[in-house]
Formats: sequence, structure tokens, C-alpha cells
Amino acid sequence: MRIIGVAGTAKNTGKTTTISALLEGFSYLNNNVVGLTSIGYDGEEIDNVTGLLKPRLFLKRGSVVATAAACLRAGSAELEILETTDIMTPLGRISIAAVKSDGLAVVAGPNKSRELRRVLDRMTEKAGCDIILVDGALNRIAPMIETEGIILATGAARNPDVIELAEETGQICSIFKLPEAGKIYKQILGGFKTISVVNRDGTVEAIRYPALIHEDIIGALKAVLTEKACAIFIPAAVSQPVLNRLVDIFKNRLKGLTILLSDPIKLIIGGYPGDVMNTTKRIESFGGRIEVLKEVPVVAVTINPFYPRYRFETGVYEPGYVDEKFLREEIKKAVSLPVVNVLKDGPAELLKVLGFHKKG
Amino acid sequence: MTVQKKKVLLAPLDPVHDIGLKMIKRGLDQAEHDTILLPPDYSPEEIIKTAMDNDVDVILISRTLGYRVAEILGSFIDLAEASGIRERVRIGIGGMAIRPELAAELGFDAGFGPGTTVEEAVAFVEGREYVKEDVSRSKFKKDMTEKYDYTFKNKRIENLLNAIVDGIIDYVKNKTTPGVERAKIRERMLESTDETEVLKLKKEYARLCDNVVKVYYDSGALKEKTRHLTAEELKALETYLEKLKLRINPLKLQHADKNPMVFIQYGTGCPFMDIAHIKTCEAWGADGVVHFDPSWGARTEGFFEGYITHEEDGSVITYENLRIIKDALMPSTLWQVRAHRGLNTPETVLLAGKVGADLTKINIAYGSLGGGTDPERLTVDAVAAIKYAARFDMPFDVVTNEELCGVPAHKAFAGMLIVTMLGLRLGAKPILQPLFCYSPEVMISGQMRDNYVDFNAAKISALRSILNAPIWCGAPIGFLTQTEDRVQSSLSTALHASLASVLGVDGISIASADEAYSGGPISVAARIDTLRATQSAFRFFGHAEITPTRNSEIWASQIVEGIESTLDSVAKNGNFVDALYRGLLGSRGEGAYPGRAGRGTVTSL
Repeated sequence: MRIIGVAGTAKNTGKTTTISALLEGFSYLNNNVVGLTSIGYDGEEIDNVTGLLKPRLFLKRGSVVATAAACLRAGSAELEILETTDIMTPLGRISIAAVKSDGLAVVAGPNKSRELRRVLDRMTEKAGCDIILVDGALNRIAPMIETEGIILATGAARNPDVIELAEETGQICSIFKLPEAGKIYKQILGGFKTISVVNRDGTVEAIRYPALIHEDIIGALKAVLTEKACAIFIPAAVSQPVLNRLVDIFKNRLKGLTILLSDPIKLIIGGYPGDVMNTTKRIESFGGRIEVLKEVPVVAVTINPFYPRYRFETGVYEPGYVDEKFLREEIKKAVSLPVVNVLKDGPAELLKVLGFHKKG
Repeated sequence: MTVQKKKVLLAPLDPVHDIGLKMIKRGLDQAEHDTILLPPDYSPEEIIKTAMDNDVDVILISRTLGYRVAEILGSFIDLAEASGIRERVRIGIGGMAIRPELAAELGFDAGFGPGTTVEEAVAFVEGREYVKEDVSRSKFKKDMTEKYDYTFKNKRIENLLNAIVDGIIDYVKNKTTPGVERAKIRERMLESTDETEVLKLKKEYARLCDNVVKVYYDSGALKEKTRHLTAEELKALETYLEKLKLRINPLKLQHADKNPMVFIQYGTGCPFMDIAHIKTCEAWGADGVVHFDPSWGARTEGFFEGYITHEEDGSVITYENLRIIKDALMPSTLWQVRAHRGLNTPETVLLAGKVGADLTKINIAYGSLGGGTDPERLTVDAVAAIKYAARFDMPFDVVTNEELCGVPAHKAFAGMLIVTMLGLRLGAKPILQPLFCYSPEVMISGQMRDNYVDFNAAKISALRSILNAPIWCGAPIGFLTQTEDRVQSSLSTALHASLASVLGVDGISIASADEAYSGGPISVAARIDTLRATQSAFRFFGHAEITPTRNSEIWASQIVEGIESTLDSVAKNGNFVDALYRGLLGSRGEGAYPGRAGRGTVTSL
């Protein structure tokens, strides 16, 4: 795995710490050029929202970073620009730079999938990156579709109730594991960018909307959904309440029908994971299936017992913690993936999961 | 170039607030773009569906930031991305808590925080790069003296001043002091490239210094609580300034053309810290900065050398210290190095001129009656200093801080006018610096019992009736009206600034909100308090007037009469220096004591 995303379930769930641990781990591996970018903004000293101190990003000489103009001199690492792209962000154009001396970096990268793709390609082709880490932002996950695999960072900042958090983490991982559709659908639907109905005779009827995010769109779908339909393809976002409504309306026609999504992320962003899982179960209970054209594997879950506790009486945040051992045990029970607290365990386990082993 | 018409969806992703969006909508409508403004409280799905249905080019979201709101905005952007609209729709976010860094973290294409103009949002919609007005480029150094011809309207006062100044010029002829001689040696040292000659000159210089300075030139040892900045500290300063240069985008304090230039005073003891204070004040709009030297420096014959910091108020004057401070200034910042009191007055003005200061400060009357220097010594030194100021084309203000000792305004003004005339006769450009404060005189006599307006206005009016010269109110304005309450201090400063502006003065010096009661170093935040308050007050009054009561006119006449009678007594006395000793420009009973530092050091050539 060469392009690894670190996505968080919320702010302060440990994305930066996970990235830092990976950067440290990769620094022990010889002959690998490590690249770093972010779909948001990271590496700053003080959190933009909570005002609490944040972990920093330390880059070694020889690594590569893609970051916005305003961040190029914001850290202590000496950077040499290799290429300045035309990709704009609120902090200026994205440049790809080589790290000339060890130091801290502030990273604000491309925030859209298409732009992330372009930057990743340039980091590989122009800067010769062997491994690229894509740092997430907040609870944002959509651009992570461009990675080859995701490390999911979760923790008390998402929900300090450990039982609820573990249950939700399990549900997120289950959505990520939605089965992949057969080749035939990939061939048929290759060029379609809006919601389409695939008929058993191989014909496809499309409507104008790419995303299923409003009940009105079900109405438009109704017009093209006939008895011949064998699949409904939704290439963009799927809102769970709307999908649930679709199940209500078409429950008698779901038997043998496949609901195809581009990837699991399109569903994850559409509602609470528990509600999403309930809806997928309803689809299956009516004899339908839900599949994805592209899988995005979650390779590990990192946990963080820290959370910014909001004091309503003063209007400020202060550090809070849940029991780390309990958190680890509950998350382990909920997911069938390696669970790592990088602050305690270090980067070794993650490197192993990603297929990298320390040499010498 | 014709701008392509855009379709813009404005959506408050907020239960209530949409004022900012309404303002932007008006700007976009005026620029002939199509706009759709959604009511508050639409869901992210409804906003995105509306964007799809209307094929919009841009979405502008507004949102106040609170608990968990960052996640809500992150989810919105994710939904927009996963819905496929980000390929062609650009999305901006606005709100009072939004900064570019946060907008980047949230994944938006642009962020509009406090101070955003409608034009900035329109530029984003039109895909134009918005170039913020760079105040540092549009700001330029103003010469406070340029519009004044120094014509005396009061001929009687002019004649009296000429008579007194004739006497001063005659008195100092063929006289010199260690201060005058050191300045001459310092100049030769600065101009020499021959190391042997410089070493010889240093020995000559040291012979004219007090023991504490002699020791330095002999052994390199500095006085207690004083040390050289280390190489690491100087390097760190360089790095600090480099980083700052990229971030600084100064505010402008003035709202109307008539608003005066605003000066702050610094003197933390450490040049590095001074620079941090200066840069902060420049960023918050200060037009000029004033260098405060330590009080012991004024009492000590001779200067040290090198980059020196010390643990007391006031920053040590050396060529090197002044140089690094000068190099750190924005090109538009006016820089004044004070030389108004003390035993190093000529050398201070020389160094200020050599380093490139814009202004200096010289006043014999204050320096010798309130500043502790012997009147005869300061008279001889001041004449030499004023000659340097003239040579370096460096206007100097004549401060009247002896008012703070208890000297009545008319006497302080008489002293100020004598030095002003002396400056004019020696080819320099003096600036009148009346105090704009709650002085002991008015505390006793009650001229400010009702308001702070009348007597301050009377002072300005009196000076205006005498001559056409620049006026810079000091120092700082509102002195003794401020308390330990920073809000009160800022408001009082801002009101005094507004009054000064309404009276049409050219400059003001302001204190920080904690200056009077800091009990130690002044905090940077408190500096920002008064700068922001002053900016806000200038905005509030614009070209509006403040009308003093009838008392102001009466007091203005009394001040002029008082000046005349004081000058008359000095002229009749026949010797300015003797008049200072005798208390004609401020008596012991009024709180003015002729200084003793440097007494007996004037020698005949």
C-alpha cells in the first residue's frame, strides 16, 4: 500500500498523532521517499477551533510535502519548492516541496478529490514519492477515495461514551466492508455520472441527479424504475433518511434488486453509521442487496482517549480523557481490525499492517 | 475585460444569522450576478439540492462557529463533494470566527472572516484574485512641518523671543561641554575607517565619560543589570523579523484626512522586545514610534557601544541598538529618538541623524527644570544638538513635560517657544508639543473640573494665535486621566485623540491602556487597546466637531497673556540661563527645580 489516508471520525481523534507516528516509523525504512499532504490544515501549534495545544508534524530531510503557499514558511523545516500547481486553497496555491532540513511543517493541501488525485500523481511522478500519507481533517472523509487504504482515527473526541463509540466504530467499519459489485456492472456503468437504473436487458435509464439526497429525487427515479430493473446505481452521495424513504416506497420491488454505490464513502457521509446500517439491513430484509463499485479498505483503527471537554460556564475547552484500556478493549470487540494507540504502541504495528517492516 | 455572469447560491447554514450574506447579495446584485438567498435553517441536503436544481456556479455559506459546528461544516463539504457538485461549484464560508486556516481545514475554497469586504466576496465569485489593500504600501512618511511657515502672528512675542534667543546664542559662544566634545569624537569614530585612529578616539572619548562608562572602554565590563545581546538572540531577531514580514498587514488608524498621525513610545530595556512592541503597533496602525532612553543614561556622561539590553525602563542608546531598531521599521514609520534631557543630548541627536531617525526631541526648559540637567549645561548642549538636528534635516519637538511637575502651562509654553525660536534661528524645524493632559495646574485651579475639553482646546488655540507651526500633542495624551481599568484608559485615550483631531493638530502620542499602572513592563495587548480605541474614535467622529464652552476662549487669552509676561520677565532678566536658575520659567514653588547633573562642566574654549 503506497497511498495511505488517515481519516478521523471527528476533530482531535488522533489523526495528526497517527500521521506523526507513521512519519517516524517510515524514517527508519531506508530508500523510501515519504510524501505528506492534507485534505485540510494541520501541523499548527494551537487548534483553530478549541484553542488547545496540538501535536505537531515533524518532517525529516529527504521527505516531500504538498502544502499551500502561506504554510511554506510557517514551520521550521527548510523547504525547497519543486513545483507550484494551479490548485488554489484559502491559503494560496499548492506547492510540492522537498524537505531540505529536518523540522516542523504546517500542511494545507488540496481539499477536493480531483485535486488530491492531481497532487498525488505529481508527488509520485515529479517528486518520486514511494509512500504518500494523506492527512484528514475534522470528520471529513470524501477526498479519501483517492487513497489505497484508510487508517481510521477515532476516540473520545467523537464520543466520550466508550460503549457508544465502539458500537459506532464497528458500524463504520462494516459500511466500509460493503461487498464489491461484479465486473459486469462496472462495465455497464463506467460512463454514467448520474443516478441510473440498470435493466435486465442491459439498457440503462438515467435521471439528472447524481446524488440521492432529497425525497424529490426519489420521484424522478420512480419515473424510470420499471419491472425490468435489476439495479439502481447512485454514483454520488446517498443520504440515509432518503435511502430509508426509498426502501419504504420500493420495498415490494427490492427483491433481486441491487443498489450500487460508487464507493462506501458515499454512504458513510450520508447519515449516522447506526442508521445507515439499519437501512442496509432493511434492504437485505426485503431481498435486495447493496454493493459498491470501488472498495476503500480500512486497514487499522487508531484510538485516542483524549477529548476537548467544553466548559459551558466559561465557554472554553479543557483537556479530558476516558479510560484508555477500556476504550481499547471495547473497540477491539467491535472491529475485526488491528486497534492501535500510537502514543502507547508506537508505529510498529501500523507499519506491519501496511506491509512495511523495519530493516536491520 | 467583461466578467462572466455567475449564478450564486447564498445559504445561511445557521439557525438565525444571515446579515453578512444579505450584504454580499446586494454587492453581487449590483455587479449583475444572479443570486438566490435561502432562508436560515435549511439542511445541507436542501442547500445542495437547490444548488443542483439551479446549476449554480458558487455557493456562499455563512455560519457562526460554536460547539461541534466545525464538524457540521466538515460534513456539509463532504456531502457537497460526494454529491459531485464540487467539480464545478466553488464554495466559500463566512462568519465572525472564520479564518483562512479554518476554511482550509474545513475544506472550503475560501474563507471570509471579520473585516471581509463585499468586494472580496464578489472577487471570489468572479474568480478574480482579490488583492487586499496593502496599507504598508499606501502608507508613506509624512513631514509634520511641511505645511507650516513659522510666521509669528503675535509680533510682540516674536520680538521678545528674538531678544532672548540673541542672548542664548551669544551666551553659548566659545563655550563647550563634555557632551558637545563627545559628539564630535563620536562622529569622527563613525566616519573613520582606520582602526588605530578609532582606538585612539575611543580613549579620547572615554576620558570625557563618567567612571561607569570609562570602565567599559577600558575592560569591556558593562554596568550592572546590563548585558550584550548574544549572537543567538540577534539571529533569533533576524528570523523573527523575516517571518513577521510575511504576515504583517497593517491597519490604518485614520478615517478622515484631518486625523493626526499617531505615535507610540517604546523603551522596554531590550531592543528585541522594543522591536516586538514596535511591530505590533505598526500592525495595529501606529504611524510613528518614539525611543525612550533610560533615566540613568540621561545622568551618565557617555554612551556604551554594541547591542545592549538591560533590566530597567528605557532602552540604552548606542549606535548599534538604534541601527537594529531602525532596520526593523516599516519604511512608512516615523521614528523619533528623544534627546530632550540629560548629559548626552548632542551625541543622541548625532546618532539619531547618522542612523536615519526622522525626528528628535529637545527642550532646554523641561530638561533643566523637570529633567534634572543643569540649566547652563543643557543650554550649551541643546544649541549643539539643535545644530545637528538642522544638519540632518530632522525636525524636533519641544515637549512641555514640566507641566507635569506643576509648572503652569503659560510658563511651560514660554520655555517651549524660546527653544522653538532658537531652533528656527539655527535653521532647524521645531514642532510644538503641548501636553494634552490633566496637569497639576488644572487640578489645583479647576480648569478641568467640568470637562477635559476646554483647557486642552485653549492651549491649542493659544499656540495657534502666536505662530503658524506644527503641533504634536503629548506625551502621552490623556496623561493622568487614565486608571488601572484598561477599558477606561482606552476610552480616555481615544476621546483625547478625537479632541486633538477636531482641533486639527498634526500628531499625537498615545500610551498603552496599562501604561500608567503597569507596575512593570507594558503589555502588547494593552498597546492594541488604545490603538484600536483611537481608530474607532476617529471613525466615530469623522469630520464632526466638538464645541468647547466659552471658558476655552477666556483661558486661551489668559495663556497668551501669561506667555507674554513670562517672556517679558525672561527678556528683562537679560540671561536665559540665569532665568532658568531663578525660576522665571517655572519656580521651585511650582515644582520646578533646576537640575544638578552636569553642573560646572561648561568650559570656555
